[in-house]
Amino acid sequence: MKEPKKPFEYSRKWSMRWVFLTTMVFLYAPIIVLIVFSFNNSRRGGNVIWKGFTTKYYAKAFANEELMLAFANSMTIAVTSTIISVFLGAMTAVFLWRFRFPFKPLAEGLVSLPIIIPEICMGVSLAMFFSQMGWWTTGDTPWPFNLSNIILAHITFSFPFAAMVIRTRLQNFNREMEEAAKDLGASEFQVFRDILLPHMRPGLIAAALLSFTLSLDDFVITFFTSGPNTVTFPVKIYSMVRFSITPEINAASTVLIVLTLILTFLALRYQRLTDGPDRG
Amino acid sequence: MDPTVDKLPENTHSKTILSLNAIGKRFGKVTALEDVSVDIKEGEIFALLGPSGCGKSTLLRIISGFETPSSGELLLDGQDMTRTAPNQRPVNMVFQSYAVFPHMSVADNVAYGLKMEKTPKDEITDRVNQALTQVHLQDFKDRMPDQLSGGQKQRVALARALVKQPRVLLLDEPLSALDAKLRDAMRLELVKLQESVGVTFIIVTHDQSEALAMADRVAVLESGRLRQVDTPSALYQKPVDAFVADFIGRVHTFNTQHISLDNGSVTALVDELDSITLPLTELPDGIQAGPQPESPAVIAFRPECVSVQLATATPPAPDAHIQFNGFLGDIAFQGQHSIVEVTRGDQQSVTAVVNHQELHTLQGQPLGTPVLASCAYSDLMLLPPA
Amino acid sequence: MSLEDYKQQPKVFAAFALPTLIWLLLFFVAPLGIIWLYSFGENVSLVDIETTWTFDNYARIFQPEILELLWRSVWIAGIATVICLIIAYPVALLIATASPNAKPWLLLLIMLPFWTNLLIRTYALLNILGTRGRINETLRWLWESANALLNRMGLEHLALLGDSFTPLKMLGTPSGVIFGIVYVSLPFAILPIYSSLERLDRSYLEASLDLGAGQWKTFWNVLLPLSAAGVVTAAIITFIPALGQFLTPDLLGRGQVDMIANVIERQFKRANDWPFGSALSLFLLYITFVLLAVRSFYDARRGSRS
Repeated sequence: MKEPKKPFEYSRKWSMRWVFLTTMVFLYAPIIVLIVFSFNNSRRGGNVIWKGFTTKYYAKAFANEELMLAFANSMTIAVTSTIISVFLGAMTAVFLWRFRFPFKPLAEGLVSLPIIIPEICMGVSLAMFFSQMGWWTTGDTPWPFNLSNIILAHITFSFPFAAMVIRTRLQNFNREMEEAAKDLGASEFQVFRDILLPHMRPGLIAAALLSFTLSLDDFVITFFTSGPNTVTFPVKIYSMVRFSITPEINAASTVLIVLTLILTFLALRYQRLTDGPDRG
Repeated sequence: MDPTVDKLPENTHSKTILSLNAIGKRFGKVTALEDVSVDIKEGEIFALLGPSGCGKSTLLRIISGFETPSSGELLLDGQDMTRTAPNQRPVNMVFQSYAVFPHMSVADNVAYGLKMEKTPKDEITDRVNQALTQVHLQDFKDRMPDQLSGGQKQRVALARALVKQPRVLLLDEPLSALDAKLRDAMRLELVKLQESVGVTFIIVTHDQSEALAMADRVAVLESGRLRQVDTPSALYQKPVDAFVADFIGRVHTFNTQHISLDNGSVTALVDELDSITLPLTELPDGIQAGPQPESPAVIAFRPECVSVQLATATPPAPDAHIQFNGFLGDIAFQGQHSIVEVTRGDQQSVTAVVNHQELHTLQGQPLGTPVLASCAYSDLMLLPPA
Repeated sequence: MSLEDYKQQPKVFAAFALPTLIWLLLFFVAPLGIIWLYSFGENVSLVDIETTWTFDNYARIFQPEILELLWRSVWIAGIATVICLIIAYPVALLIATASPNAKPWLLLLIMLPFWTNLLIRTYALLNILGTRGRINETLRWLWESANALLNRMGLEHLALLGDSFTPLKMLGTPSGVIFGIVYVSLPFAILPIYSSLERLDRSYLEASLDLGAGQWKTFWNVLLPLSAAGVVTAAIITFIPALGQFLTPDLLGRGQVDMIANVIERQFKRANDWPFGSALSLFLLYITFVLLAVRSFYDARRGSRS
């Protein structure tokens, strides 16, 4: 027998369910249409009419050298900035978590500011900074050094996110573990290596996946900090979109969506580990 | 089983292992410990007892090396250890949360301290096995901590500390995280374990029954000061002041107005009551005779010493008993004995712990029946105020 | 858990803190400092800017066409925020009252699109909103079916539905841009409301019912006020990025519905007027700070009341 509805079980009201369902359609329909039409056998832009199934636009996208170079650039940027972001984010998380020091609220504010400020401000200011310093702005810098500016920019906006994730993990660390290790004869370094680092590991992995996704996602800041001849995947797609809409863009986008999906699922798995209470 | 049977006679621990000399600790303007001096003897179970915030945990952290005292010194086997780092001290700790490393197996947890000492591998294996056998965890070697119960984790923490063969083992509220039944069993087990390994145990606890049941000697701390260091029975029977009397077991206290010592007996004028004469030949420490503006001393007695009888029955000898007329209040049946409340209008009521026989005469009487509570002079304690 | 004083281990503290602080000073504070200097500067040649401490660049913000731009940005972002909140509240309420097993999955459903590249999501909307996009194609199909039905009923001479189907123009109009902003920022609005509803003690609602209030009265008098903090947070963290949106107006507005970021971009990429672009960027940053201050003021006031 079905249980009667309790007064505030909004999730069991049909009107609420309709709102939710409509919202889901609103959120997912555009992406699903995009993916479906990446398999549409039609040359025309706009993806209007279904002309049969094909994978030729994937082949075309993979054969597009500029697109592939842009993809390689994006991956290089993402990997490099992830490694440094996690390292820097971990250090940030540890010092904010562990120490009491003067002007701490100021330091915390400064670290979270890159998360909050409008992307365009960060993009513009970094672009001006690099041009003022004359760093890799001429366009004839050899690969991969021509990516340096973008990598620096990506680290700047993603390490605060990494720090946030790692700090959450540290928050449920039992400081008695540290003392127990010291009590058993471990030095400061041994405590860090044997106790704190293993505890942080899920947080580090979650932070890495988050930084990687953020880097792959970014368009605005990359758009401003990329040099004349440096193209990343989103920037390349942007220039293709401005030119015309083709199923090839859909195919390339689908590849990136799938990649992000996989990373997101991995991140969530580790996030769950991160948020779980310590059973210690 | 009675835990007191496991206690070693007092004279077997004669040698001092750890001396605290005038230890003081301040955090900013807050004084956590003041002039704490005590000698802990080899092989004893020593309890640091006090209400929360009394400084007992700070004292434990000073002994383990996680805090440095602001003044005073700490000697272990006669060696100054005041500023030795925690990882250099032959003192180990069982933490309140046990702090069993969640990413290491039981055996790895126990082996960790030996690895830090760079003990040879074979010896590590042997000693780990031996330590786990001591705490009856030999079959749990390869388990991960999240597969263990609270009690098992505590055994891991014990084995991990004992395997280092410390001179002193510190236990921070060792039973507080266990449920009531396990707690009673673990009390006994800890005492037995201590007996078999012979290591000096220092136990921090806020639970007086735990301290009394387990320790050879107990130090009562309050507001950072040591109030009394004594055996459990001495603490109970001869508390040095009203605070200790009240903290160790239950006690009734009455302020006195005037104390005088004449002809080998002490006379006190007690609030709410008449003058009484106590069978004492001299005044206890910290009490002065004569009229004073503040209450110079308190008269204290324990509910176990109070008898209750119907007002119509023959009263006990008035010159040897302190007596209260009152009315029968609630009776709480507790198995072996019962607790009887005697109300006295707007004056403080008196509680008595009575046996079956006494209870028998009172049972069936309606609430408010006139009764007489009394306590022999010989059971009264004259104490300095808290 | 107590924190350690940095003075106890100054070297460890410095080793952990300095890299972060140096990084932020070099790649965050210094760049902002540069555009701050530029905003008081003048172009002396094509690429050189001299800081002359002029306020001209800020004064130019108050020119009519820039004021109009600011106003347009504010109302587009504002309407998008309001729409987001209206959609977000019931969605958040549903998730907050869903069974514990369903909750993480529902949240995941909300978050997934958010993890997809912003450019790709905006591009996906291009496919939907165009004159030959999904929405108009669906409308055309409806129109044609209805028309066919009317024809069969012999009513074609009346041309009740017009002579031919006129597609809705969404690209290049504010409504298209608003649609896009709502689409990309909805999760921002849902999550804070969800977390404030999640923390809400259900017994308040039951108490209200118990005292005789109906479902709607309870909603207005108890549920909404108690989740107000979440709604304010949601409004601000939706509005801030919406105001600074570059991609959505750029792609969906087709250059006809510019917002602040598009004009900033133009100063740097085409018009080559860095000082004005810098002033405009900083102006956007200051608006952000004001909004954040409003939020912390609101939080502080709530904190002092409870």
